[in-house]
Amino acid sequence: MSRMPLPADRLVQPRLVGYDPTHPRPWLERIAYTLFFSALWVMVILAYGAVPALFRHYGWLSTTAGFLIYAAVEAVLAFLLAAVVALILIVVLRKYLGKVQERVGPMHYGPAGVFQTVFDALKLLGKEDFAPKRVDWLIFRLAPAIVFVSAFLLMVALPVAGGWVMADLNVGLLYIVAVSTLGAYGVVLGGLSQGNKWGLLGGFRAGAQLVSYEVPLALALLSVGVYSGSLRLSDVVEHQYGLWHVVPLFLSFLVYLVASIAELKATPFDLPEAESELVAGYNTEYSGMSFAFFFLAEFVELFLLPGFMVVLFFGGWHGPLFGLEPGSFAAGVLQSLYFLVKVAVWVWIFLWIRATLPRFRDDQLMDLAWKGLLPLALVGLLVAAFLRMFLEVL
Amino acid sequence: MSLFAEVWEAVKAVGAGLGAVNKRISEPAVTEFYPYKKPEIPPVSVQFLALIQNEDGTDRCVACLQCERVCPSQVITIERKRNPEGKGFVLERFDLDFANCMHCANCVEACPVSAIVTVGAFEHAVYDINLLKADKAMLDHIGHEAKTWYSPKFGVEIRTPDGRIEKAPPEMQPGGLAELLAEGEGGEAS
Repeated sequence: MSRMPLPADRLVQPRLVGYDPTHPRPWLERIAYTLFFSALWVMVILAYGAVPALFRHYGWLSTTAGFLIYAAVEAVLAFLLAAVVALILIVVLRKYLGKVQERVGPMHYGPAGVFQTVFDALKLLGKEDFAPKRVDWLIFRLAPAIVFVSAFLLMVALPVAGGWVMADLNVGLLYIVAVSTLGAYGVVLGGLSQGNKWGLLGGFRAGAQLVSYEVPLALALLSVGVYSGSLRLSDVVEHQYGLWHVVPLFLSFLVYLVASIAELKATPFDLPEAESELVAGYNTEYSGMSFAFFFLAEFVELFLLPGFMVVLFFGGWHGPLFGLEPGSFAAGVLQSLYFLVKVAVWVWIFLWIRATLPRFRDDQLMDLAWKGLLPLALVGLLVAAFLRMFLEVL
Repeated sequence: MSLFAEVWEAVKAVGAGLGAVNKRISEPAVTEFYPYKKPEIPPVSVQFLALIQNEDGTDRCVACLQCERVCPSQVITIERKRNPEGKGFVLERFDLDFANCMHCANCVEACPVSAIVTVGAFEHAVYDINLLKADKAMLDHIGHEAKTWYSPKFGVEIRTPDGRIEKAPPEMQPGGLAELLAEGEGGEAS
């Protein structure tokens, strides 16, 4: 008889929470991002400032049990901070790339889609963590852990404000080089262990790329160490009163910028996980939380590498204190805000570069690393050494 | 080209790219919010076929079998009988299998009385292919629901809110006529 009967679910529309495409509300999105940034700030204050100050104030650190509790709490807070950073940066990246490509990006969950990552994470938690038959099981399981731990360990050495650092290492610059190189092992092993040609190619490319970009990166860090006369990161920041390192060490800064984008495996250098050539490169066979840990590590590094760039070249936490006494808790809160704003600007520039440039070819990448960046880094080191010598003479 | 000139060219190119990307941010998204915001279908578009009935409820169709004859997919099946009251034929059955229809609208062009027409209704996807085998009642129903429809013989017609069928104004008609009228007016003015 007459009309086409509709299936029952045809009348059910997908949900749009807090977002009406006919009446776009850009201020809602801005409020959401402001709240995100505030949450990040609170997390940084908790992890780097408040909890250590609390333990120090009550003298709990002098006992073994107190120190163990402190270490456990700090580890949990650092993990939470990593999770918050990744949750924020993933949705920011997707919305920004959407805007650049004249799309709207995620929009279904939360106001203007800002809770999309939360639901993604829940989905990944619920998925089976599947290992194919031919994988090298131990290394396959170890690789995401290595990648994440290497990104996670970098957080320890990040000075966010005067005296606010989890471990003020006197070899901080060497620590950065050592730990960030560890991440390359995870990527290479993850690519090679999964018995998949895409993974294998991704692992090869990652090995070639990450190892060659570690060298200019290490040389850029070394020139900072030479110029400031210390490998301790808080000393490096203190050394920048009056003049940020970006002015005298501009060459090293450029090398660090390019090499850290390569280190991030972001778009001009995303050969290890080139979606259009290899399926997903080194994380083709990963699913569930193993994949999530690769993802988490990538976005934590997207926060940490600009963070170290700010520490080394842009005066770290420096900024007007409005009469607050340096070293006090209130000054630390303000300084961490300065630090986070600088990092946010640099994260934006990293995303901007990521949205602009096309992917390099393999041989062009190696050309750039060995013929372009390495001599440039050596010249930068020379400049740093000469400037240091003149400073000593004066 | 010296090394420095090459480097300068590269810096300029990357800078131009970054500027172009930054400009795109402020431009509006081209995304179609389809289920929430229905697109406006132009009056002349072959989305679906319908049978039109006159204002008094009688069929426009005179059962001449032209559409059945021209249909390249042979999806139209018509059964007719002699009109007991006068001359001509009346429909007994008019079936149209949308599952195999290729939407070429040859039937619409062949129809001498504009009984089978194209309409803009497009949300007719279903999960069961048998639901796409339309009978006369369903085609009539689609025709009754349509606000505008098109046939080459009568052009775009509209159903007014009080149920009358009228020819659409020239600006709703397909390109040729509207453009012709616009040119004519322009010619007179000049």
